[in-house]
Amino acid sequence: MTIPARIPLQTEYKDQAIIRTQKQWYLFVGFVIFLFALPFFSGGRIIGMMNIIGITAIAVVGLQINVGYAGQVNLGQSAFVGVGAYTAGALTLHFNVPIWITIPMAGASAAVFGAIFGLAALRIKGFYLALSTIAAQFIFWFTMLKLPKSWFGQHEGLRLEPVSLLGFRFDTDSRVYYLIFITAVLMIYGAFSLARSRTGRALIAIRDNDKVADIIGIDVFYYKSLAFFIGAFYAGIAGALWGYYIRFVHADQFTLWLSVWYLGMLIVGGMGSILGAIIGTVGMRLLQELMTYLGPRIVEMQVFSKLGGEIIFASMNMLLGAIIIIFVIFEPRGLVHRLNIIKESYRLWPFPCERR
Amino acid sequence: MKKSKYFLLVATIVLSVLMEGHTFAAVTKYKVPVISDFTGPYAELMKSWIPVHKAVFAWWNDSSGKRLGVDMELRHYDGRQDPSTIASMWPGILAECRPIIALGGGGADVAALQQRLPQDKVPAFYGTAAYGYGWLPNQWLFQVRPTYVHEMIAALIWYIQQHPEKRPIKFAFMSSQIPPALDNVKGMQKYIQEKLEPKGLCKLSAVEYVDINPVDVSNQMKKLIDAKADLVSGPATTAMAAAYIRACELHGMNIPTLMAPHQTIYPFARAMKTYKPFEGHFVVAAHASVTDKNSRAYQFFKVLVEKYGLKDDQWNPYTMMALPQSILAVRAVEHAAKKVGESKLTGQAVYDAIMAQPFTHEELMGLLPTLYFTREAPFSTKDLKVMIETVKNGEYVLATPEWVPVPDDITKW
Repeated sequence: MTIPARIPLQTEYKDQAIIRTQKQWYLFVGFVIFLFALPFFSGGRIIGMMNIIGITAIAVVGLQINVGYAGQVNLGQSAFVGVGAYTAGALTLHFNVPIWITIPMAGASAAVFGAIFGLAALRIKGFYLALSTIAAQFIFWFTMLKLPKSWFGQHEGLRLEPVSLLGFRFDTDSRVYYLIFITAVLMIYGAFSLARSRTGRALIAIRDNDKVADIIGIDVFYYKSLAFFIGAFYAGIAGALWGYYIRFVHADQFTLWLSVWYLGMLIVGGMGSILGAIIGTVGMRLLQELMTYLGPRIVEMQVFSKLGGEIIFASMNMLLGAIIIIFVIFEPRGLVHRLNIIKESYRLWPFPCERR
Repeated sequence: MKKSKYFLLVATIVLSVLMEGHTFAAVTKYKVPVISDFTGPYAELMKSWIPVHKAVFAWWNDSSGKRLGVDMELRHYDGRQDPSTIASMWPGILAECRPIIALGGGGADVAALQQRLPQDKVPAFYGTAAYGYGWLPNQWLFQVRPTYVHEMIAALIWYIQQHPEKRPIKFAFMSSQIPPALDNVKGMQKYIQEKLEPKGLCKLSAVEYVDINPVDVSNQMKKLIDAKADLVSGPATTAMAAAYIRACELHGMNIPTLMAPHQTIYPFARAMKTYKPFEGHFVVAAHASVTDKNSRAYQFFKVLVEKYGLKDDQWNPYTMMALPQSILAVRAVEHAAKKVGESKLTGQAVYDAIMAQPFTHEELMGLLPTLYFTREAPFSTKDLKVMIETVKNGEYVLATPEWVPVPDDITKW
């Protein structure tokens, strides 16, 4: 049974099904086919954008598991992405390991790195946990620049050739798109399943009140570490895909600023929802792309010629930050909450939908 | 028949009206993407670079371009010094511009594009000096200058020759730990230890690391003083330069620095309105000097001021990064257009033209020495030269009026 305009009560497993009706199945399959066929009818710009969105979505979904479901603040997700990128790059470059091994290995290495910082989560939370995850960012950066050059290239980074799988060479944007697309589908399916599982319920209990969760028998230490482990695993997978797409891995690509943006995407999309992570990623990246597209054109129009081009671009960057602030103030539950309201309104139409 | 003749007459009149004042232009237009940075660390430099790019390309379109039937239009893209932004926008740039060349900004677009430029067949030009980790064969990005290490070694050897009484010169670093800075330290260390120290010309006395924007470096300065350093390299930002000068004043010493023109003397003096604190310090670059207003380069700049919208006060080290970049880019297209014709220009044709013949000092308008590009490196590797500037009696001047040669025994580090 659903209560209008609120999050549905889910008492049975089938209540938690994401796709419930045949019509929804048709729409979903159609959407997947559309995405699969995208390279055949869209331009290079769209494919480039989709590749970056796909990679970012995997990292942000991982962050959602950690932050949105387990309630553990994490400002080091970008570092975990970097660990995955370096792992995949080094295995490919030095040992010619095939990508069906390097990608999971990248996830595993990032997961171990992330779990180490998850150990701190048992003792500290909130602001202090955020600081310890920021430390992950700096530790990663310094380590990668100091480890032997023959391992990770130090300040030269790693340069990769296009990889291949079963004879299919990923040397164009369209071909890499399929690698990213298939990986993203698998990872997002896994995230939805995790969220609806016993583990997911344990993480939510810890998020809501970790002391009570402990009292009712949930192993808080285990699940907090597991949240970091899984979140970082996703980041590592995203890092591997990043490395194979850009074909150049360097510590400077994985900054604290990027971790902040991942968190911003969660805020805009909605915390505590896998769909929210995806919506936030898509929305924010499209907004960035729009600004990148509009910026030079506004400058060329010389509408604000007295301000100069640099002010135009800087103000656009400020706009992105302002959007995050606006969402925190006016829609703290994110775009996914708006989407839920719209869905319920549609289901109850023509009856009014109570909004909360 | 009457009707058809009438129709022909009307058509002729209409066409002649439409074509009134129009010439059948035999000009092929090409779009040139410029990866800029308006919101990242190079945003300040863009104020100087963009007018220069526009002016040089407009000048070329009006001169050589008109003769060859080529017109190039610049399209700026804000890469934000973010590899992911540049990586996602690049496929769209390829589709929108179908570029035959591109102008790059800095490290982020090198990171994002270096591996794919050979596949996309778009030569990209950069106005800054190169780094050791970019010294790779078969590149499609081209730097107008060699590495910072090449430039500083040339200046160091010149300094050694000027000060025979100080040998071995004690060379020290006060550097940040960002990859470009570490690259410079490694390159200089290798050359000093392998080539100069055995000859008793120079030795490495100290290496101190500081933050990239430090507040105070007096502790590190004390160590350099204790190590009796004669020359220091490393303050790469205005904040580092300011902290260095403060530390010198605190200790009552003035150990000269050796950096690039956009790093120490000029940006500090622009902020503090005086060159005096940098008395006796040096800057070096493999392009014409902004202190020389009798040079061919300055005469070319004046043409751009008079006819293409530049201002007199834009003659500074920041502009001097964009000017050589732009002139090399237009000359590369010129070489290619002379070979293949104006309508058949492609990235491959421009690349082949870059490899085929040198770019002379004269056609580069005196901004750069003659450049010889090969597949060995993304910068010219033959007959490298630099200009060295200093502050003397409170004035920013040339340290030596001639181009100083770069030794040809510098190897990769």
